[in-house]
Amino acid sequence: MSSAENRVRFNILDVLIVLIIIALIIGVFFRNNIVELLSPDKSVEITYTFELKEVDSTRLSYLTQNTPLASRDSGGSMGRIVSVTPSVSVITEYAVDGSIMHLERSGYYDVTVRAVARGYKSDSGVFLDGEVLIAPGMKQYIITATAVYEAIILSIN
Amino acid sequence: MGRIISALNDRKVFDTLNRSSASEGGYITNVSDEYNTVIATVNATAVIENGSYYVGGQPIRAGERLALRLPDFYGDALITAVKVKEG
Repeated sequence: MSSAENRVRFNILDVLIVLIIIALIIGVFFRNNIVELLSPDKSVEITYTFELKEVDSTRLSYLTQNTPLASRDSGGSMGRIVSVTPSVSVITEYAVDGSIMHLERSGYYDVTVRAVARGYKSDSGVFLDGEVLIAPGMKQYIITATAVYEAIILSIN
Repeated sequence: MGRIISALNDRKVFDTLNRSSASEGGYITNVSDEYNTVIATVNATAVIENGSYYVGGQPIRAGERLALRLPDFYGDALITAVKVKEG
């Protein structure tokens, strides 16, 4: 048997298999931030405010500083609460003569919440946690561990 | 979805709006003679997933609505409060 027959020879298929295995190893190693690595938009700290209408006192009590927030629809993180400012809900109604009535809703609160999250700003909008789009005027169902809220995004910094 | 450990059954209270004038108008609280409101406390074992609590695949959060089925009743319920006891 000649020595030429025993020599291990690599062809293009072997090289491809090795490259695929290396790519898989890199993918597993960076699996948690591969989207961020590939994205041209860098993650920054984003402060935003949102408003909750007619929240009862029980659900208001769940909103405390540093409470984690998430999107009910996507499950993506929406950061943590920085501050909570409640005021008694005031409803605007009209009397039969057309005059405006501002009516307080006892036991219910309109709440302005300031929150901070990691995210990035791109030409197509502001995304929290790489996936939750927020824009002023947009409605979002925001959840904590024990409650859900219908929120309107007011501002983004 | 767990077991009822207490239930408070009372007449349904609802608000209507008096629009007669801006000075005299406002919400009027009424007590229904037709419908009742039942406030039930339910004890259940939940699993935690991504920071949320689930019972039978249903997310348990104050403000969520869920379809509730008892042996002799089926209806819509609103979760008003959630207390978690770890362990």
